[in-house]
Amino acid sequence: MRAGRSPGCSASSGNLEEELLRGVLSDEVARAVAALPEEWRTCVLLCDVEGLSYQDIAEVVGCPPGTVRSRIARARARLMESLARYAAERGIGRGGRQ
Amino acid sequence: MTCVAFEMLSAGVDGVLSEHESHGVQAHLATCERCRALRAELVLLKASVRDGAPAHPPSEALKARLVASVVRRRRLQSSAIWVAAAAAVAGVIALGVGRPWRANDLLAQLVGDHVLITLNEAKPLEVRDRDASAIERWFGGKVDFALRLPRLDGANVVGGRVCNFAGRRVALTFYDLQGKRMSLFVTDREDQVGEGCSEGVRGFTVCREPAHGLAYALVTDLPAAEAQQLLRTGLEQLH
Repeated sequence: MRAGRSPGCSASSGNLEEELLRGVLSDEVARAVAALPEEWRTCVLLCDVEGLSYQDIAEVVGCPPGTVRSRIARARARLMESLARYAAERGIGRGGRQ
Repeated sequence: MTCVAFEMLSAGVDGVLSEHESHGVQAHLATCERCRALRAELVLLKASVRDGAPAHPPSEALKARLVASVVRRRRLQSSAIWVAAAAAVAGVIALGVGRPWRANDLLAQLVGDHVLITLNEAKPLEVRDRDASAIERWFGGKVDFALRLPRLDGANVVGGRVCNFAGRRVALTFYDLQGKRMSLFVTDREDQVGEGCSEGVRGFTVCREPAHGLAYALVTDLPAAEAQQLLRTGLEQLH
């Protein structure tokens, strides 16, 4: 629940620009996550949402922890690209990963 | 200057780097503004994915795999107990039987039950009620103690079920805190549950507190300090 998230759970820096950007982009984040390949999406959601360790994710999805690490990194790279494109199109971002 | 691999930065945000890797990354970040900015974006992204999560509940297939994984762990733990019990019956050394569980086993099982029941609609609540008194009455006769439920600030009790834990029937109750489910285990065996608060138990926080002759264990994704405060305040207000 976005509104109900306790401040202590958030990794936000408290920077106003980031807070605003985060609010604007939240729906787009959801869309970008949905567009990820399923194997990547599963790993990144188990990590970021369920808080499972790479070892536990590996057990759940049935692959080595090294593969989990790689899938999560690829998922994040893809998400950053998608979000940077979205932000650039609307003039609200500063670009993403080069 | 060679920048840190993106995969390494990503893993660093999850706190899974080895000590050696972590030192290397930190040393590089101290000198590279570009990597520092990238890392900050990764931290922000992780928080954003987490906040956007309700739109993406796990698929049925994933839930099944997650549940199966927890069940497999529990079976392994149960097997160890049965082997020890059989050894005791045979007059061999009673390995661990009758002693409190090792803390890690206990915490893992509490979290395992929390995940198992929260995700598995096939194993629903046995009682659904937002009235704590009604839930306390429902547990009467089902567990060997008089259940007393604390009021947890900002959270609503939603129901419960009886749960077998280390050979005892314990009360497992659920609270809703702004859309997030928390599990509160209650037993009369203080010696088996102990006291303390642990963060990062398979991604969850487990806080254990004795009160009024009972032992309470709260499983939540709140930070440890917040969870402990929530549970302690609730228990202090119990008369």
